[in-house]
Amino acid sequence: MFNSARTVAVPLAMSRRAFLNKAAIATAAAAVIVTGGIVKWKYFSPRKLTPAIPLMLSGFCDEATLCELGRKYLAQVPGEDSAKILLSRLAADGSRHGADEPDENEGPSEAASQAEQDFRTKKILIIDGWIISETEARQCALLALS
Amino acid sequence: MHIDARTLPDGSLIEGDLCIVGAGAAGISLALEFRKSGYKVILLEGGGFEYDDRVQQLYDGKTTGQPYYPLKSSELHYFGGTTGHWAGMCAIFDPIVFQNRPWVEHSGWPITQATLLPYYERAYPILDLQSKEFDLGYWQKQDPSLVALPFDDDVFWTKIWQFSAPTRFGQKFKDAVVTATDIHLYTYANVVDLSGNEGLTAIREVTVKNYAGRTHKVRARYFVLACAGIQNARVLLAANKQAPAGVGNDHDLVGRYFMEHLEIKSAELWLKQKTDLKLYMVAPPRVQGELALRPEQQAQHGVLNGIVSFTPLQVAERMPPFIEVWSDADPRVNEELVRQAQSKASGNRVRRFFDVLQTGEMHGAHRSFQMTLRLEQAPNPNSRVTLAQDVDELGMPRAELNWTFTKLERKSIRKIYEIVGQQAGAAGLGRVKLKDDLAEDTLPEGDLERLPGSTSAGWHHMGTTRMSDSPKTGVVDANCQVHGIQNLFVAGSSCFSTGSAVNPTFTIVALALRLADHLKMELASGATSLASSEPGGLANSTRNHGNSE
Repeated sequence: MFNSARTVAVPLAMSRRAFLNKAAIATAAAAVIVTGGIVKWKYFSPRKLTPAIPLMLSGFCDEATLCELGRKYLAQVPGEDSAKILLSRLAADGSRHGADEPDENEGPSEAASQAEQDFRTKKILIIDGWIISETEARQCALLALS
Repeated sequence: MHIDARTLPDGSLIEGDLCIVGAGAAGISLALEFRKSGYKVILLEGGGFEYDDRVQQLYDGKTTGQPYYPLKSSELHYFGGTTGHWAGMCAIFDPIVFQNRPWVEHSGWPITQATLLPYYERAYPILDLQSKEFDLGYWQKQDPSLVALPFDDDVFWTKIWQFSAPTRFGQKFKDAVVTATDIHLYTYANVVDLSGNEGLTAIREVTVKNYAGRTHKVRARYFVLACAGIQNARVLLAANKQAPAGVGNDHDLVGRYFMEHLEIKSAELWLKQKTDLKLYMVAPPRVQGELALRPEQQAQHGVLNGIVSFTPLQVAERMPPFIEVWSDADPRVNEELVRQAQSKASGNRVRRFFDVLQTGEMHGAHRSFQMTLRLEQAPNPNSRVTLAQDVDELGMPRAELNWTFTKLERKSIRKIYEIVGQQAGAAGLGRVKLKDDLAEDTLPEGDLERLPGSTSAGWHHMGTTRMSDSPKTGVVDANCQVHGIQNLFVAGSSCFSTGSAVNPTFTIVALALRLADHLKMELASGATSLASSEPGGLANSTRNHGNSE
């Protein structure tokens, strides 16, 4: 009858895949348009896909907003105000790579995975109201510096 | 039986076993429990069967602190009470709401949720709820498309709302009350004073007045104040002839701990893919889910009880906060203002908010949603109802509300939104954006007890006669009896020790039904025999009291 108690077994959440499948069915028009294999987000059409593009966030914010988020991150963390340092941190966080040197040509999808991992481990920041991952903040900073 | 108190000869004496002051959700639910009981119930209603602006004017008062609705228009003063304009939202108070939470000062009820569960069950038919099920799994079996956000089950669960018609007590129960032989309904009978025995250990009589210039006395073995959250406190405070601070106010608690349900619309959820979030909209069958933070999470983060609902941003942006729209002293005008504002904002495409809810007009896939956080208010002795200097037309001091907060509200709002953001990110669904000054990392110390300007409230007045085992920490005990006064009880949300995040009517009715059971036992036991303790008191007879009719 009542499901507030922790002891009551309730199928509270479907799996992410099931949820997204349902979302896809319900979607009349996808938020992204795939054109020639290049993802173009609603607000931000990157000239080049680099680690500086926070994929998810770029669907909600235009380039100027992303750069502003980056500048505010740099103001909070002045020790990271160079592209080399930021790329290094991004690569270090993405230890999945096993590479010593950052790869500027690496696509943003790995960083997106790392952003999700940040959220899972609660490495998150609030900048200008946006609740974002550390990885995304560094990506924005990189974008601002570029 | 119905008697218009304006027609009685001035100075009439009305006598019965039980006198209930106020014919709203609590008073009517309580009175109907005494049908065919053999006890004579006097049900006093200050207004008539329809809205009367002159009567409503008695509820006018002053507010200070956080901006609030005009007091005159936030409770209705006629038969049926505020159910005359409630939205019908029903949900059960969570177990944690009743618990003493170390991180929420003054929290803890002397009863548990388990105490109330049988009474919630009895409240279903009164409120015309379609089902006794508040379990998401049950509703998903009825409609598999009610899909929950794929958040961590250890962090959030889905709290289910059901929707009453909404039941208008004045319409639904008028005939039942008027035709009941045991219930004597007196309309236009505003209680303006309480008189007790020497020592004020029991109430002997109440004084009622009306605009016809008639003053009557009502005597009974038991009295129940059921005239809503602000007025219950006002009646007790104004009865200050025998006790200068008011009846039941030996410890200066009456009127304190005023709580509301906060409605904060200060965050947005942006999703990677469009979705309808159907579970979180009102959809046939008429239930709605909201994201509720697990009790363990509330404890871990030290936050208040709160739940999150979603409205498509393109709809929400056209709806101004209720606190801005509900600005007139006349509740009828306010309803029209809300309708006009929302119609105008939507280009007439979106009708009244609750019409939208009921028709499911908000359905359809969207990518951005406004998140409305419904949050309990921390019990706060400085948030209080007092008596104003000026008096109403019947000579009773008006109420004055000073609505204030602690730092815990702002902390809870930001943290709960932050947890939603963390979960949305971890699930790869989207991002959350805080709005207003919640986006600020730091605020001046003085602003930490202030809430965003868009903060609205639910017109729910709670806590002013809070329940506690000790008279030092509460006005009424676990049976809703005013501490130290053996035959005076309070019904309604003023007895809530904490407010929960959900609307109060369901719990108000459940508590009233529980009080009815208790009073039946008291009456049957003859526990209160005022005649034996008070010269001139009432005979302990349940029959043959002289009545003016």
